[in-house]
Order: sequence, then C-alpha cells, then structure tokens
Amino acid sequence: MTLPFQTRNDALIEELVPYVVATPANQVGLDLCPFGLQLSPDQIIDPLRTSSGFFLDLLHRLDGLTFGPEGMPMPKWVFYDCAELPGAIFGLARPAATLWPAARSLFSIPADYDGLVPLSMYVAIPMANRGVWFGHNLASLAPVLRAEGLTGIDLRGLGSITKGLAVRCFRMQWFWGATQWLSKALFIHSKFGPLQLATAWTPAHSELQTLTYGFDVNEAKLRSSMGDPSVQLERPPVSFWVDGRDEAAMRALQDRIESGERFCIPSRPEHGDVVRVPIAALPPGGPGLGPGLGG
Amino acid sequence: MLYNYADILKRCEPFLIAHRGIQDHLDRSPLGIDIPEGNIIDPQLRRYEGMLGMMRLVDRLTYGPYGMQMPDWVFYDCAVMPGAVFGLGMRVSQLEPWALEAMKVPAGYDGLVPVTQFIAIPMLEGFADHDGPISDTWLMYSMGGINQVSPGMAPPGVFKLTLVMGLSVFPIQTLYGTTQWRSPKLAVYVDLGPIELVTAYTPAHTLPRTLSFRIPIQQQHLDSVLASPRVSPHAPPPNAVLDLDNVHELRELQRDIEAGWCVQVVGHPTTYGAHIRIALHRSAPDDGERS
Repeated sequence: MTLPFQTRNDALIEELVPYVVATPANQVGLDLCPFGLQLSPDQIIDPLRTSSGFFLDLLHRLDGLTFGPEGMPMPKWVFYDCAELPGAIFGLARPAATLWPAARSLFSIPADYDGLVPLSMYVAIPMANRGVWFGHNLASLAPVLRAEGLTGIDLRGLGSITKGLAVRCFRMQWFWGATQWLSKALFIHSKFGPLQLATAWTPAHSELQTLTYGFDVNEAKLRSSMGDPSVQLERPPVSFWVDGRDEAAMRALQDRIESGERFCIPSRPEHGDVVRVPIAALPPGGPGLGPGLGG
Repeated sequence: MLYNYADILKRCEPFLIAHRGIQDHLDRSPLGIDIPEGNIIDPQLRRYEGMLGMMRLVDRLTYGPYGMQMPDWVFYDCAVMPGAVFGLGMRVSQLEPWALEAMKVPAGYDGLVPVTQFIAIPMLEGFADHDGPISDTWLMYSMGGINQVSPGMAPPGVFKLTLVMGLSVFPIQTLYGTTQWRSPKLAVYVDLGPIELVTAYTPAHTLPRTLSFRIPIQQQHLDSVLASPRVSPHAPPPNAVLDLDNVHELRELQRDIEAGWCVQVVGHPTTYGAHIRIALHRSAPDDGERS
C-alpha cells in the first residue's frame, strides 16, 4: 500500500499494516480508509471480544516497552476506560510471521501466534464537542529498537506517520494534547504547524510543568506531519523563548494566558545544553482558549 | 425523595471541576441544588491548585487499596480535559480531626475537601445518530468516595446522592460504566434500572472479573436510586442466576453476549453462605427483545 503523497519513510507504509481498536458502536465514527489506506476486517479489533485479548496485551506490552523505563506505563484499566471504550487506538503493525526476531523477543511472542504485532499506536478520546479530541498516548517501537542497538531496522518516522494517520482515521477537526516543556515529543507535535497554547503551567496535571497545546486539523498539516516535502506550513515569527527548566517563566506565561493573551509554539524546540521552546504572541481571539475550551 | 438526603447537604457542598468549554453544557443546579459559584473549578487556572491537589490525594486514598489508583497524568488527560468531575466536598471545619489526619489534609488548607467524585467522559458513539454538537453517550469513568475505605468519614448516603446528582449534571442519554462483580457499588447501579451487560468478563481490564454495562438514563431511573427499591420497577423478571465468583460462568456469559444475547442485571447481589449470586434476564438473539 502507498499514500498519495511522499512521507518521511514510505517503506513503513509498504511493509506495515494499519490497525484500529474500537468498539463496533465507535467504529461508525471513524474513517477506516485514511488517505486510501484501507483497513480490512481483521485489522479492526473489537475490545469487547475475548478473542481480542492477546492483541490488547501486545498493545499493553508496547506501552510498557515505550514508557516503562520512565515510569509512565498505562495500567490495563486505563487502556480500557480511557481509550478502548470511549475512543479509539490506531497504529501500524506487522504480521508475526514477518516480524524481526529481535522484536519478537522483546514482545515475547509465542511460537504459535500468527496475528498482528503492533509496532506503534496512537490513543485519543473525544472531548464533549463534536470533532474535538484529546490525544494522550503515542508509542513507537523505533526508539526502543534503537536503544537495543538494532539500528539495521529502519523505523524512521514511525511515530509521526502513525499520529498523522490516526488523526485522519479519528476524523478530528480540532486536536488537543498535553506534554512537558522538556519533552522531545514536541518535535513530533510541532510538525503539525503552530501549536496554540491553552496552558503553560497546568495545575490539574501531576507534572505542573505541562503545557496544553492544540491545532485545527487540515490535510496540509497531516501531510506535513508525515514528512511530505511539498507542503510548507505558515508559521508566525518567534516573539520570545521559554527555557524548558524555567518554572517562573512558565508561571508568568500561564498568568498572561489566564489574563486573556494568546500564544502559540510556532515551530520545533531547540535541544542543546539548554532546552528552548519558541513562543509567538497571537492576536486576541475572543473568549475561551480555542474550540472545545470555550473558544 | 430528597428529604432523606437533606442532612448530607447540611455537611457537604457540591462542586464541579470543568473547563470553560464544557461548563455551559452541564447543569449547575442538579436536582434543583445549586452548585455554589465558588465551587466551580476551572482546572486550567492556577488559583485552583490546592483543591486539585486534594482531588488527587482523595483518589489515591480511595482507589489505592484496590490497586486502581489513577495515574496522576490520567486525571488531566482522561478526565478533566475530555469530561468533568462532579462531587461532594466538606469544609475542614466539618471534618473530625482523625479524618483530617487520615486524609493528610495539609495544615492551613481552608478549601473544600472532596469526599466523593463522579467523573464522566464523552464516548465517540454519542455523536453518531444526531447532528447536535455534544455527545449524548458518556462513560462513568469513576464513581467513588472516601467512605468506601473509611466508612464514617463522610455522611452515609453520599455515594447515592453523588451518583444521582452527577447523572443530572451531565447531558447523558445513554450511560456506560464498568465495575467489578464483587463491588458493593453494583447494587446501586442496578437501582438505576436493569443494566445491559456489554461485557461480563473483561480480559482487556486489569481485573478481568469486570463487567461493562450500559443503560438509558431517564428521570425515573434517578428517582429509583434515591428510593432504594429491592427490585427496580423497570426490571424484567429474572430467568437466570449468576455466581459472581465463578469465572467459568462469567466466561460463558461473555460468550453468549458476543453471540448476540441480551443480558440484563435485574437484581441486587445476594449472599448465600460462601456464594454471591445475582439475578439476570437473558434474551436470545431471535427473541426480538434486544434493543
């Protein structure tokens, strides 16, 4: 299978197969042929059926491989209550028969298993307003394999391509997410264009140094996120930078947001001795923080 | 109906944690009881850090012993961003010293101490069969209170009152929920009316002996919970009994649900010696009873 545009790593689309986890009632709301990538019935996993158990366990294992070392793996009940029941999971997988032995070992795949093995997943749940979603988990085996020294397996761009396809599959019109100022995930998120800031210091999050970001979804942004070189997104100029460790700066920015000023992250952060995140001031946009958040 | 619950409202105040995008879609006077303006908390404003910290603390105390404490990031990403939290809280002056100590209320804290929480988040299927802007199908993602680990800390009856008020706050036409078969909460959910099983045995959950259910929400269901009938007036007569601890029976039931049977829980769990059983109503796929 191929996409109608170039991506950062077209081989992923050719070699991997898409899958989605969603209840039958939720499947109605999904695009099961995102960018022409048709999902066949065996690639649509119903989390309410016992027969889906092993695949769901593999997703849990993928989450553990990705986030376990950082102490943020999702308990299974969170997968169920905060992903599979209310929303959906989209990802790219490989049939067990063609899986690299090293990956097979990482997942502890039994010899007699011949189903799909997920190499990436994107998890999102709908917010109250139609078309507005909150994305809360992007997992990719790529950094895990790199950390294992398996550099011969080319999974470049797996996270970005998975997220772009997922956003299309979920028919998102507006996206919200949360991440930490120091997170490298901002590199992926900023590929979707300027990220509107809803919070810069987040009192309801255990990591107060969390920012809440969002963007309106359109085709150009999705293609850009997946590496289509023919798309150039407009980005406002940088007004100032926030040091990813400067909590006082985050609180000050949050105070300005709470007083009605609007900001975005126009482009990727800079990671060196210091982590710097660019900020652009936006013109006043009326009440609220954006679609789904009173805007 | 509320007469029996009036004492609770002398000691507890309703609160709502909801961002600006969802506040206008919620009923701020559930059952005619106003949620005070000062108890409406925007989780994206710094001035509410103290109360939000207390929420996490109470969740830890309530669910920690069950091994199902909410990971901290989940409260933001999977509760207050997509949905909202309704609950009842008590002023520090209303809590006894032992309760303040047990709940680790920080010295000098003078805000509301949450004693119950009802968290609901929208489900994708709730946008499917209408053109309205808001989902009409919600998942009751957390329903609990401090009394479940320390009875007496909050007044009796807070759980039921929170459930009914919470269901009135959100624009819910169809409610989904999950709970464990052995949970005492199941009896209260059954009072809502006959709950239809979506799963009877759930390997996708941390605790496979979890059931998932759905029920259309109507005012009469809410009245039914407050009245605590022995059997919901809307329940069909039972035609099967389930042993809650019998995994084989749970798996068989799950197999039937996957084959298209409609299975409703129609009675309270009842203890017989070492066994707990519950009454069901089962309809075969061709009975024409399945909605």
